[in-house]
Amino acid sequence: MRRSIIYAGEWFFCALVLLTATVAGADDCVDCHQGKTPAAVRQWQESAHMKAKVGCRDCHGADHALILKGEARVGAKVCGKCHAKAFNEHVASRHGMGLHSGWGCTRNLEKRDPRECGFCHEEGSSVPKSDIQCARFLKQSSEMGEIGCNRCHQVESSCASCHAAHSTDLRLVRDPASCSPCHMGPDHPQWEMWQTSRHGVLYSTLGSKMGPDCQACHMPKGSHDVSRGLTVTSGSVPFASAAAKKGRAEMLAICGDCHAPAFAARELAAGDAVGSQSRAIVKEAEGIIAALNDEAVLAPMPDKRPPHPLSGNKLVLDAQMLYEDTSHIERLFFKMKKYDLAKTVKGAYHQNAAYTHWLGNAELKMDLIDIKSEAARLRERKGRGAQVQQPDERRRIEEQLEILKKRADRGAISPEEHEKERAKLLKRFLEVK
Amino acid sequence: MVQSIKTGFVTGPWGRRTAALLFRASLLPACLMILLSGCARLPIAGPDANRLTSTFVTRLDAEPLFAAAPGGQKVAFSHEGVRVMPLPSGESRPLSTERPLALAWSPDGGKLAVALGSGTGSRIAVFDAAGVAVAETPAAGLVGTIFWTGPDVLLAVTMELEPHKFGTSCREVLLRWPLAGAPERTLLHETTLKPYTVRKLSSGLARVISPAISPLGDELLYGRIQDPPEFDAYLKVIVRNLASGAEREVVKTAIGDGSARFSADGEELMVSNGSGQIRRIAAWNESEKPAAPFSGRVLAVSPDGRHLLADGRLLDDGREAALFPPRTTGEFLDDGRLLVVADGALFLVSGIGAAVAEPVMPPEKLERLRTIRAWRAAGLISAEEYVKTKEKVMK
Repeated sequence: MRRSIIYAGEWFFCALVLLTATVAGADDCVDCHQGKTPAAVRQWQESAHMKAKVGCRDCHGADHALILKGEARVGAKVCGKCHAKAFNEHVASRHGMGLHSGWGCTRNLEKRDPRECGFCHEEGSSVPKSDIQCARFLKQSSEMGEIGCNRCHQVESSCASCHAAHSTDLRLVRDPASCSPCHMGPDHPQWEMWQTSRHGVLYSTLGSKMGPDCQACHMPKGSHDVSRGLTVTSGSVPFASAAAKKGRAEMLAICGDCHAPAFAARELAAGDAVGSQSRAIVKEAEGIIAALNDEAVLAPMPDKRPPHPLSGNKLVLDAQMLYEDTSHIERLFFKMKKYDLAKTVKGAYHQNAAYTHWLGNAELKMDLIDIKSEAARLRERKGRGAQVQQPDERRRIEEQLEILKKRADRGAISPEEHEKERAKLLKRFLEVK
Repeated sequence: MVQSIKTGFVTGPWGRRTAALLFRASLLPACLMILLSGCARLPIAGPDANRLTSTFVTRLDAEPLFAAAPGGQKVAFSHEGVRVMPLPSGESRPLSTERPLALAWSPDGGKLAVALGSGTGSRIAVFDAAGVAVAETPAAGLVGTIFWTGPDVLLAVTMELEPHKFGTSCREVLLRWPLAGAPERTLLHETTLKPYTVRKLSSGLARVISPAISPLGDELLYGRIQDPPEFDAYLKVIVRNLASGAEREVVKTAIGDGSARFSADGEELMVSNGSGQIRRIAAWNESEKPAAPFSGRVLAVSPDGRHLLADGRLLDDGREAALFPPRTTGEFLDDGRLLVVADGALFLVSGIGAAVAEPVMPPEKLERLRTIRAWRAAGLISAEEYVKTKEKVMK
């Protein structure tokens, strides 16, 4: 009898141990990781995940070898299994396409980290998730791409970009400082322009109830849709009218929490006007550079440079333009469009006077002076070159046909004018002895 | 005969030895004659078969290559190396013992360019009329085809393959080699081939893209291999103007099923892509019309443009004129005769009725025509403007 009781006791003990081990999915990880990754364990132990019994394996999986190889990173999809609403809002927002717009196919580049393929391809699939690529990323080394591009653009697939990896403390993501690592610097200084705006000063002096922070306007009520209320792209190009109308109504509703609707509408409309006036200045500069390219006076011309990663030996002045391996005038244009236009437009919408005017619009206007001056210098330079070496008449006709075609392609001359000019040039060609 | 040796006058050891000698002396030449006579006849069928006469020229290697010199006076071919022979037949002399990858005669027939090599590298050598190598250059990758575009300028289309664990990086490259200088390299196309595709095409990969040069020597036709992950590899047939670099996709075709060749005037492309008919497609605009209601790769176009050789079928103005053995390849000569390769031998076929090639255009006129063709390809002038200007140039 006593022996039976001992046997039953042993069985009960074993069953209890097994049951405990199964239920507490994290315990066997914690034992080791308290010594190996103490910060991660500490953060997890203080997290809502711990309280909700979400253990290490629930997010990281059970394949330890894969984890050690760094191939079991916890992506947004893993979080989305439980946080479906936040995940869905996130992927539909501008943050949800951060990775796609910041990466590119590195397959044919030298000295690249092969793990980069995993950013666009699911494991085992040769079909990329998106065909959007970034030329500037493709000009970087793997290391530069990792630190300088991916640390921000990983926001698409990593909730830990804003949230901490193991802590669930929401104080972190409710603080506007959590936006600053990415939303700062010369190309989109939203952090700086908010801090020095009336909204930012109210926030820093009187607190969040008096001054709105990033989250109050761009993630109202905890929404993960950071695109809500926007009416221009990240490159300051206005949305199509239906999307812009919807965005404006959303933003006015957000502004309406504090301001009279008419006041908010006036302020945003003033921002629209500043944006439109500033884009016209950029457009004028773009036309000057396109004409220089037509006339083959850029120094160097696109066909005499390393090819653009996406467009080859073509002039690129759109969102994929580069700040390296271009001519000086294009470098001036890069600063104009990428830095100064962004400062003007975003400064206006963030109600920051200095960014809108001195750091933005004034710089744009001075950029235009520099670009016109450089254009004149390039044309003079070509004129001097022409005196030294006159191309033959056929080559001159060909150059003029090329300029005409480029002008026609960008709508600078009508098809009728184009045809008329071509006819004149062909007549000249037939007269050449 | 063997039976008669065993049962006839053979009686003693001396007799047996004599019989053996007789056997060697009589049977072997007879066998050789049978063998040769079997190969020396080119089977020709079809409505015009009686009009055609064929002459055996020479035997070729298993992967036959040949090039006829302008004027059809001599032919270079692959047979245990490279050999040159006067036409219609005569004493051939060896030029190289290496197996060639491609052969091309200079426009005046005075020089022969030969691409040689294996594995991953090639070289191009130029031999003069005496068979002396007068110029040579290495070429990365395997040379598929070579062309002369002037008396001292060669073009070669090569394929550079770089194996990786996920597939093979494949670069189609155009080499322009002015004989006095170094070759200039232009990347035509780059893709990654699946391991399955590389295994399937194996050594013939470099010839898959089947380039051709326009009669004016200013435009190139070649295939860009496409190998999408979920589908079979196929070719995009591209026409490229060499002066402007402008390109146009003409047609898509399965590898091995289709081909394209320039028409005699270089304005159109004779295209087949397994659709059951040969089509005549304008090189630089969308217009097209049927040329013949037959499927089959177009392999040669006669100098007057009237005759086509398509996979063993000789077409006269779209009509089936004669049938050679299936997969017969060939090349029309300037004098209207046809050189064909069938069953491992080269034959000269005459009586086709093709007109001789037009005399060479004066250089000034040729240059003007090339100029407006480059402008048309680059979209600097319209197709109509090209036609009108060409008429005036050709007057």
